[in-house]
Amino acid sequence: LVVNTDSEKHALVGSDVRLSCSFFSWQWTSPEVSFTWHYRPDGAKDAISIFHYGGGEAYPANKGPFQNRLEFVGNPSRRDGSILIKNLDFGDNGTFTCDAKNPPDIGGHPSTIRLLVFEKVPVQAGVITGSIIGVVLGLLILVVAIYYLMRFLVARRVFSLSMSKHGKKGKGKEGSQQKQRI
Amino acid sequence: MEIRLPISSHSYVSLCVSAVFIIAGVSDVSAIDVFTTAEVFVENGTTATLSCSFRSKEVVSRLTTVTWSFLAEGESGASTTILYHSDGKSFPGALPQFKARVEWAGDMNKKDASIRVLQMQFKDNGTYSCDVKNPPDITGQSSPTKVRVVMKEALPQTSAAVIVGGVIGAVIGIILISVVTYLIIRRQKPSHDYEGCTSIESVSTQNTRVGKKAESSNDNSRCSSPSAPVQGPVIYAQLDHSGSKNSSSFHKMEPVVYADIRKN
Repeated sequence: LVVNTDSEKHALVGSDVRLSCSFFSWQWTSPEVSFTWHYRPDGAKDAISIFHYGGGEAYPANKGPFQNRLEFVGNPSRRDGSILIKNLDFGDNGTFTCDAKNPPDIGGHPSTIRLLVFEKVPVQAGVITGSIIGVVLGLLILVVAIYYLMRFLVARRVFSLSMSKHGKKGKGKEGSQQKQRI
Repeated sequence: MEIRLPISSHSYVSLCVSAVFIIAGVSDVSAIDVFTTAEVFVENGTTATLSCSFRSKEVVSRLTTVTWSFLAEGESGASTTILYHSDGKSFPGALPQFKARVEWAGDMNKKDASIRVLQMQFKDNGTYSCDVKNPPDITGQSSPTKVRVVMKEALPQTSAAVIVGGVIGAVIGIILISVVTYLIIRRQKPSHDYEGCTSIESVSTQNTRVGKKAESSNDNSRCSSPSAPVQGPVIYAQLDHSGSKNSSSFHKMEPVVYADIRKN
């Protein structure tokens, strides 16, 4: 049994965030399938349980930091154990761990997702990477264009030299004609 | 008037008790506490019993689940499930290290969630966590147990072996040093004798040179004073050389001949 989550999630203060969790198992989905979410605040050593789905029913924590703010938005029959955290706050920064059990297939590592709460959503790493790649490609295209322009100019000079050669040949012919006249 | 006072005081006391009870109940809503032993020492190859009990206000039901996880010593991150107990059935984890070695030893009706690990090995060193969910009691922390697998009476044997090995090594070392020293001493003596021979030869060569300078009598005496057998051949060689040299000098230069005659 393999549990999958995003590795990191960014969200704004006061907004809602969906933490995805799904699993792959060689067994059919069992009626006894269960999902458990743990939360470990930044700087803390121990994790606490904040959500549990078992026996076909969801049990969000009604005590602690996420009291009345958790909602089950998954679909166990589709192996989805996602939860929704409403009205985020800075104190919600931390690591969330999702563990799934599909008896008799219960092996494997739980999966963790790191939640970061911001006033403003920061520029994504993907955007930065894309910009860098774009700039590099632009520079490459520019270099190639300059190269071909230089080649064009050099080719023009060669053409003019060949024209001057033709001129010399013409002079030679004129000389021979004069001799024949004498 | 007097009768009324006791009645009112009694009702007040009962109200206080009720309030306290209600407050306590409210504060304890939906919280589950899990208890384990903090640290356990187990001998290699034996069975370890990891105790775990929990306290919950809700009645234990078929929905109550127990999850035992293992995190190897020195590692960090998420621990791996080694046993999952639900609805009266136990399921082993997928960790090959613990295959067929973890057994359920608890009794849910007594709120006991203990397990047994058979044939403990050194790689089983680490932290074992017990986590209990009794819906709707799901808020709480898993409880860790540190397990250390130790060798049985291994330390004394190991130390004895080390001592014996050390002594034997020291003896062998001393023997090797002695043999090497003896060989070095034997090699030095022959080289010394060889040097003596060389010095004798150098002396003979010096004598021949002095002969050239017209001091033949002194040379002869010096040659005779050392050991006879060594100097014998030298004397003959010198006589022959002197004869040949005189003849050559006679042919080449006349003044030399006169000088020799006068000295005689």
